Amino acid sequence: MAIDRKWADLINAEIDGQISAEDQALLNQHLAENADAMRFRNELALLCGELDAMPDLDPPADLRQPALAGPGGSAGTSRKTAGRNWLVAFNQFLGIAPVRYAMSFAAGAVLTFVVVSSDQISRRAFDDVTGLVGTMSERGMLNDTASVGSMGLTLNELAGSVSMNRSGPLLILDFDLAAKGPVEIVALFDDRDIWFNGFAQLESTGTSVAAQTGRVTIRMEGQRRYAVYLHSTGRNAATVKLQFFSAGKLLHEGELSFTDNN
Amino acid sequence: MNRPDDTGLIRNCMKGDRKAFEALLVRYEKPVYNAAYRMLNNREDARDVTQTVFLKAYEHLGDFDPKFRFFSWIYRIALNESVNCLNKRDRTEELASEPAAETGGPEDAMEYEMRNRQLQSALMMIKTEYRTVLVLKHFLDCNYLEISQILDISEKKVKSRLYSGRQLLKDALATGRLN
Repeated sequence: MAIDRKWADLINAEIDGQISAEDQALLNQHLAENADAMRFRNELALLCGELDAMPDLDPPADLRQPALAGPGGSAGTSRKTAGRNWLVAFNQFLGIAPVRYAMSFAAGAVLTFVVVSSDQISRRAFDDVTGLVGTMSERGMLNDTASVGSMGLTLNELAGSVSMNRSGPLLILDFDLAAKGPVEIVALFDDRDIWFNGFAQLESTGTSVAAQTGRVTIRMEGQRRYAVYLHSTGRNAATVKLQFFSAGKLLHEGELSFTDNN
Repeated sequence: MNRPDDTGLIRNCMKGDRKAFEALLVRYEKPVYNAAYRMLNNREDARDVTQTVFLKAYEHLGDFDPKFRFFSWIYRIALNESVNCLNKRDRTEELASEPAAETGGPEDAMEYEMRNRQLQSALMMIKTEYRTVLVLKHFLDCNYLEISQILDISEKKVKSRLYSGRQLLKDALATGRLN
């Protein structure tokens, strides 16, 4: 459906409510005589309506703290350290990077931190944190967390994003997904120096996870946000292959990777 | 959007009134955070950007020209910081996409949520210059003139980028094709 640029511009202006009466009359006449143009207008209006109707997200509860601690706060307080004093002792107590990340995973929300079916969990990782519940802190406690890649999904069965972050020896896969029905996600990593280190999910318990050597399998349905932690000591490059299944059918396959260049 | 008392708050803020700055933060944190999120598709990055925006705004409040509107100024900082964050990522976004099922519109909450995520993922596939204009128009409710002032480009260019951005978004949703 190729629409002449002139009419496309007028349709856009009409949708934005910024069309003159004269142009509106011209456009109306054209639309009445041209079914393709009318279809284009209806599709574009629907898309714009969907964009306008996308919900606003609430900012995290702790967002203001560093911003307010900077201006007029104690001298020398940076946003990375503002509000962290009470966390120092807590942090030392925890001493477990995945837990720290889990704490920073979402402001003000309760997180459940679980590990299930792992045949690797004793390998320099914690033994059992089933049922451990934490509340948020702020991301500043993980100063070296960096996003290194992401994957968007707009499939009919599954939509959302998966991003990979690095924090010291940790690789953190952050899943923010919505699935119409049950889906299975398999994360594969060939490198023997990478192993499963933990799992955290936000505000829900509807996700299950199982870890084996070189593979983490997640099952979910509905709207979910969770993170998988992989340990990758000393690695300056790694690739994680992600496979998404629904009813045994492979929906999509992709990779997230990092090198020290990013 | 352009509150009449922003100027008074800014004046008080420059005199060292922390509560005035807090009031500005409360007023603008949500649109700034949402703009950053729509640009970045990452809640943690959006939070970092929002905090940076308000720290920079406070530090450079003396540079703010009161003949302009405060929201234009802070949105410009927000978008610039978001673009800086994207550049620091130095990475490519990947998209797995397929033509959207013809459901005739959202039928339930899950359908609505899925569609929102599809739209957000597709937004990330569009070049930053187009996404920026779409965010200003559809998420910050700015008109052509306001967008042109925030981005310091002509209204003609605003229209061109907005219209092209919508078409690219439509194409990305329909076919998964990347621009």
